[in-house]
Amino acid sequence: MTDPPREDPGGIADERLRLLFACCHPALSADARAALMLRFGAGLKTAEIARLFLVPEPTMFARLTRAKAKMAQAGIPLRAPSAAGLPGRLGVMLKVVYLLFTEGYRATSGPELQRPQLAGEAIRLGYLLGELLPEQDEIVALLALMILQHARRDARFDGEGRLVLLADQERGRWRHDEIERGLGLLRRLGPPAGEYHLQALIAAEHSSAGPTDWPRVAQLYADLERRTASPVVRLNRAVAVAEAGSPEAALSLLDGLGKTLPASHLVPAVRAELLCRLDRREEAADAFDAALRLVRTDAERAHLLRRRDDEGIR
Amino acid sequence: MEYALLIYGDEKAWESRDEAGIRENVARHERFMTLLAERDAMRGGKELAPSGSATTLRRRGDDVSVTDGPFAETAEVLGGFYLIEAADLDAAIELARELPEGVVEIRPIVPPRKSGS
Repeated sequence: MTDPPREDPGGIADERLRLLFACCHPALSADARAALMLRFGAGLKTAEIARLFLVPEPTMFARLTRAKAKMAQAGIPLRAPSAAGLPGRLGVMLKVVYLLFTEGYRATSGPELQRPQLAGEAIRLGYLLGELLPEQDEIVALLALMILQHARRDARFDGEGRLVLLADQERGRWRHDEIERGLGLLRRLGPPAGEYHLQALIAAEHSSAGPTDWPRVAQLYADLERRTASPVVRLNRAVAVAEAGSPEAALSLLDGLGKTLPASHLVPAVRAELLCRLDRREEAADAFDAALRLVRTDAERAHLLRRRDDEGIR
Repeated sequence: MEYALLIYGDEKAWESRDEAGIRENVARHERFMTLLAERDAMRGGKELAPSGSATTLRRRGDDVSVTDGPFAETAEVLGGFYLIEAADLDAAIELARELPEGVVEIRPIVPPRKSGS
């Protein structure tokens, strides 16, 4: 992250990179940035992008047209940022790529739990950025993170499309060549410097063949929470703390999260699991109900119902 | 390209400034105008009187109504503007960053259109 871009007249000469930075300009809406990256970064056709975003093709066509008009009218330059502006602009660009990936990894709407093509396109964009900006550790870290998570795609749901939790996943269905590639990228990096790096280290722990080192995962999440102050990170940290053997400490980490993330079914879902472990069954039943009111994908709803039945709660 | 830098803010906060606060703000705008002049980017700009002094005309067909007050009753009001010349949006953003104000909206100026008559 410390190396300045190669010296040449435009900062970074590559025409493709200039286009990608323009597509991820902060003056564009988040939706527009993601669509433009798929159009001009990944080279997808409008119809393909529309399918990936689950919108009709005319809607996507209009969104891209509006975005291109804004680029022209507002004077968004086809220029890589200055060395001083690079970290911030690169951060926006990586966020666009990771949002594409996460939408593919855990779909927030629709009948499918994950959309591997979208996640695959995000990884391709990550490789492209890594080639164009080879000195940037943050890109390598993000790429490692995405590859490690994506390597488990075949094991994350069963033959009937039901979510399978990490602990229950068949290790044989993980793509071990991809895991090796992700771990190889991580080995190229120094001590953890950024958020993607910490997340990739967590993903690496989850990819290990042996039992997960939950205390280490909990520690990595604590580091990540210090850096991001993100409520989603705190939620994940709570899960890791519970797995490391302290469900009560985990439960207290959830305090107040329902208010910060009122639309997420994951907060009450995790609370329900923790309360089950502590044998506080009435509270667990309420938490399952709250999670079922909020859950939006069919597969995750089925998972919650199954878990509630397993616990004998109704 | 030409851009308008539209300065928005909380009018109550502007009005409650003391003498020293106003002098400080004026000095910072003077520095901003010097910066624009150095870059040959200054094309104009004015501070607007408070929105309580505004009058709004609305035309419906041939009918024109005249009412007291600004067009939009919002917490943050337009307080002034600059017209600047900048190579592109990034250059305009770089200049707008130097403005000592809370909210600055950057709008490109449309080049003069011809009616054809």
